[in-house]
Amino acid sequence: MTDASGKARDYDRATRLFRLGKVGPRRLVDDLVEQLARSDGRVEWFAGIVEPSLLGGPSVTSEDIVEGKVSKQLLGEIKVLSKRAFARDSDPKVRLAGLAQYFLVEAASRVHGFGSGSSLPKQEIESILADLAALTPPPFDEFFLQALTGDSPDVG
Amino acid sequence: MQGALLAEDAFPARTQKTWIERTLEQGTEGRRAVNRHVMDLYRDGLRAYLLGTSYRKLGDVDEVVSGFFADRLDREDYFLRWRNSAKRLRYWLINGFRYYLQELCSERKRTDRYVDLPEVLDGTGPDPREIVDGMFGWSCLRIALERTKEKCGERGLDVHWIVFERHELGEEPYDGFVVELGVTSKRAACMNRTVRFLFRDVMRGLFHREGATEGEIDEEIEHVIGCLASAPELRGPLEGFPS
Repeated sequence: MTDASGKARDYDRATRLFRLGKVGPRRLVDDLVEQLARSDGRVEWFAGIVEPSLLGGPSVTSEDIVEGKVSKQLLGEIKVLSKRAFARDSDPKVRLAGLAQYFLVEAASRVHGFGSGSSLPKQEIESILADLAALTPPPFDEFFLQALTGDSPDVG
Repeated sequence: MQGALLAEDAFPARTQKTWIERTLEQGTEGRRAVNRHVMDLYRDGLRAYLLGTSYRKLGDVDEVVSGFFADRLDREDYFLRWRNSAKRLRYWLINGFRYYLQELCSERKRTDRYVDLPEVLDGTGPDPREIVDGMFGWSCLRIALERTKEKCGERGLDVHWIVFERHELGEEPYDGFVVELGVTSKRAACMNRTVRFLFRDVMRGLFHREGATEGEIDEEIEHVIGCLASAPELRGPLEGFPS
């Protein structure tokens, strides 16, 4: 490789790396993504906001949702409550809980064979599931990844 | 009134302390940390600026830049005056550096009347401000990568870092290295995304410390990218990136 082409390659690579620093247009999920990044993968924080009882939902746990113990109908109820909490509640923590539960239900619908129940564009949903897979603590990280890829969880 | 509002918007709210102010409140250790940060991030830009002017005749470039840092950074009100100036820190430092160079020139002329020193800047060659912006960009990248690697280590994400390094820096496809790491390509993509978030936070933090508000950072990044090409001649491109 010539010196000039090496420099051009470095410049291109630096440009690409720099653009990783940009946030672009804000998405509805970014409050949650930022909070997850700040919470540093602490399982207590995320587990604490994805419990349906927090929003007055049915008496099931987030583990039940992950493990496929919750019916499609109950998932639908949790989804309605989560949307309502996100849209109407003035408490930021409740709004974040609404967002988190909405996407947990979406992941569960995909993983447990009920199909996608979200009206968001497919590309946007997949980008959000990928972000949640990258930032949530176990076992949610693998669950979101599974929802994204349709594969069974792998170790790593 | 509109102007006053814009000026206020162009900088973090006055009531909100910057990282530099908060760190300075920690006494001697805090001041050391701030000085280390400033020297690490801006040294190359000041060197590049000096090399682009006739002031380079003042002597060894590194000694002149170190002399400037030693003279200015420990002044009690230096960063308070920066904060009140509403300038980006790199431009505040360059302004101060220019004054320092003039002071140095005057002093040399007083002590050695025959010395051949410039009165004014060359005005030739590439725009010094663009070079400084470009060098700031290269330094930002280097520091952001170093700190992201450190953060990965602190959080037990060493394998995540390797994935990021090989895919983003080495430009290797996931399939080329995932087997040796014991993960699938999809998992590797997810791990890479985790590090991207860390990298993004670190990178944006450097711009915050410069004085940019959250809403200004994307634009600042594009501006600095536009200046990167002005600077690499003075330093090996990507030199100092962690391996």
